[in-house]
Amino acid sequence: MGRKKKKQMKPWCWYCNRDFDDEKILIQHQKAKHFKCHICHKKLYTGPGLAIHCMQVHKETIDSVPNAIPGRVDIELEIYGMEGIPEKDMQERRRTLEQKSQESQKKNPSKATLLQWPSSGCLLWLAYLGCTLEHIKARNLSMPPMMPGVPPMMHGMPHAMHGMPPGMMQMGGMMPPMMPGMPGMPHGMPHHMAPRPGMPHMAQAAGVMASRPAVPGVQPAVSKPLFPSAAQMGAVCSTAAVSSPAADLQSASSQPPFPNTPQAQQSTSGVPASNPHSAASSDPPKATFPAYTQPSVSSSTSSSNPSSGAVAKPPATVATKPATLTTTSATSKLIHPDEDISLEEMKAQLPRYQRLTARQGQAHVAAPPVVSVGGIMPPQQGMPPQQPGMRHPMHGQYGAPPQGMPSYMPGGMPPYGQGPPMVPSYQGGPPMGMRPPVMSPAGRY
Amino acid sequence: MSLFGTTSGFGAGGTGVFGNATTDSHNPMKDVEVTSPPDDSISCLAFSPPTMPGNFLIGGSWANDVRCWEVQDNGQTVPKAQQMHTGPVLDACWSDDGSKVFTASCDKTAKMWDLNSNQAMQIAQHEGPIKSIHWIKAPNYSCIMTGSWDKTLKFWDTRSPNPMMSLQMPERSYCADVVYPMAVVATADRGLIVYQLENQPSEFRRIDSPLKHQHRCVAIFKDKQNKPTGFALGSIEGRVAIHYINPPNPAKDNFTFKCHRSNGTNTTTPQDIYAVNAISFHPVHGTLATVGSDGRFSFWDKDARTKLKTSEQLDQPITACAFNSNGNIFAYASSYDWSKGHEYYNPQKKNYIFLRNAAEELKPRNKK
Repeated sequence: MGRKKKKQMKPWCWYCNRDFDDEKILIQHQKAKHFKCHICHKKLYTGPGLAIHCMQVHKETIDSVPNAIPGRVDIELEIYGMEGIPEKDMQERRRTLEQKSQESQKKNPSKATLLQWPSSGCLLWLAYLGCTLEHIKARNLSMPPMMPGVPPMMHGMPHAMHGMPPGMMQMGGMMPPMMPGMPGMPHGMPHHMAPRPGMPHMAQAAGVMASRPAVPGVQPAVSKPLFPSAAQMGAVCSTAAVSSPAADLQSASSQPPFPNTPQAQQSTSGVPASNPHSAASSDPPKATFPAYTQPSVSSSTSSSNPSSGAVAKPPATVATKPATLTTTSATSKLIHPDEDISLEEMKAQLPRYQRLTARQGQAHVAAPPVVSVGGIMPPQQGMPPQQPGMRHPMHGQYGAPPQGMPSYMPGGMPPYGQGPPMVPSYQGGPPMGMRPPVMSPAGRY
Repeated sequence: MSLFGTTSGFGAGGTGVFGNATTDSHNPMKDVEVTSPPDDSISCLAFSPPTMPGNFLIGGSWANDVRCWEVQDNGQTVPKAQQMHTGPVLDACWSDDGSKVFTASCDKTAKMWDLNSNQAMQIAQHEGPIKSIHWIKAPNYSCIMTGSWDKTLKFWDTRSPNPMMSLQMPERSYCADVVYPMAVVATADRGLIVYQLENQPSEFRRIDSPLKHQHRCVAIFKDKQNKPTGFALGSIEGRVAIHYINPPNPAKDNFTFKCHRSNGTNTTTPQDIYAVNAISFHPVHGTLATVGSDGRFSFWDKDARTKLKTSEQLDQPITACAFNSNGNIFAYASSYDWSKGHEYYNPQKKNYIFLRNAAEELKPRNKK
């Protein structure tokens, strides 16, 4: 926020009434949500720009701005950030902000932003959203523009859903949906308090959704009574999660701290509901979980693909070479070696770690003298270092917990650093491998 | 060239720090350093169970040893004992009564270390390095569960050289966790299997991975009634998935979140994405801690879906973490995890284990 308050209030999006900290973020949001072509995902700069693009490139007309609340869908209005907002709307906004700030004083002294939350229409809207997104997820589509009342979007949803858009229309300019991304968490917070009582409604609306098998691969709801707790857990989870069943969290406008990059496009059904709460309850707005995505990857692509990216190694079609990861993409870089094996496996391939296992095979039957381990000992207790541990009548020594230490010999043990370096002690290779009682003559520990 | 994924040069963030040898950054959080840390990377940490008085910490390392320290109430750590394997120790755990420590190693064996007598005895044998070891205490049996890179999960009664049971897995076991009666194993190739342990262990369900990258760590969490109800799974792509076993609404209840990434607000340079090396749940609050290759640890509240805290960046990756039995102490280990490949391995670099007071920072956010 370089300048003073923009037009005396924080930047907000005319299309969906969301608040932002910064006009830059607002613009990013608009580009990602409202001025993005649903066909090719190209981000334009303005509404008319989008219209023109669709006409020229895809030969398709659009008549309303995607993801805009009803009443703000005018595609002809040239709005960019905070510029171009009709004065009438600005005033209305100011008024509502004042109302809000008074009302939310008790809850949060700093911000007052969005309008009253609950109405059954709103909740239906949410249910619609949740439904849509889950549906999308099921079909693995990318998120469609949530245009209220655009039949093509319905994609054969069950009847219950058809009732919703009309319901949504009624909202008429009201509720900034939980929709495009759980935006401006701190801002959204006050109105989240309100919907608490609305939750039960939500649950019922959600029940409507439940008729659709939204979740691919849904598992039997009640399987063995093995994890019965899971069923109970639902009650807790759903209330917390339900208020925004499907929010595209990729809006870049949310908390600064986390890289909620606009690239996270794939279908999401995150549940950011509790974000506002978290922000509300703690003043330093701790960042919310940055991406409520279901398994969609925003940056690096999937593993085990013969990578075509920056990786030099050939793809692993040959049995000997492990598969490689795609570790680099345009926006991010996986800090991980390219092979798709675990870091431990890579490290274990080093000769210095291999030597031991080999040694174990040959030497184990030999008589002990656990040299290197013994090595640590001498400075410490004057116990003959070469004692083959197990023959040593250790028990007698340790049996008595002298000072009532819980089963350990009392301290006073000098730090490990002392003796000859034990560690990469493979030269001394205490061939303890197979022998049962591996006695560390460090008996008196 | 790009063998170790460092093609794009040293972006802002973690990579630069590795090069610096600033004396400060090995402990930017100013936490208590454990004395006599191991001499090579620390693979695992575990605190003694509540059944025994006091706090004892065991740590296994790539130096083939597993060490035990007593952690006193004033924060002092006293090295107590150690045991050796013939290969790097990859995992360790306590028995439920705190008298024994079980250790698993690359030498394909697992040992039972009786702390009273300070003797260690081999109790398990695999065909490949054993990556995970857990103690299972069921009403009608007790045993050790070992997961190995030989693609088997074996259960051992510590008295017999043959396993009580051996289950075949689709791939190498990369990480596992056990909270009776549930066990979860994450394998290579993004495999994920849940086992139920009542009566005898058996496979309960294979789950499609919620993550798109190699699995690295897993931790089971419990519900308010203290029953295991789900798990947190971390991958190499800086992401953790929270997955419930039988949620009423999987689409809403299960989620993933990004973590251990650099360049949060700066979108001009490519973001560095680090592996999540370990996840631990606080035994009392149910909040979780994640530690990553970026050298940071973070605390999260999965129910409020918020981050509670992120630490400053250490100069080395954090490879392991653990909470003590009452949740007052958070231990984390700083050592090289190979995330940047062979080039960045410096055997001279000291490894550390830090202890932090966890009583306050892990309190859950009040929801709503």
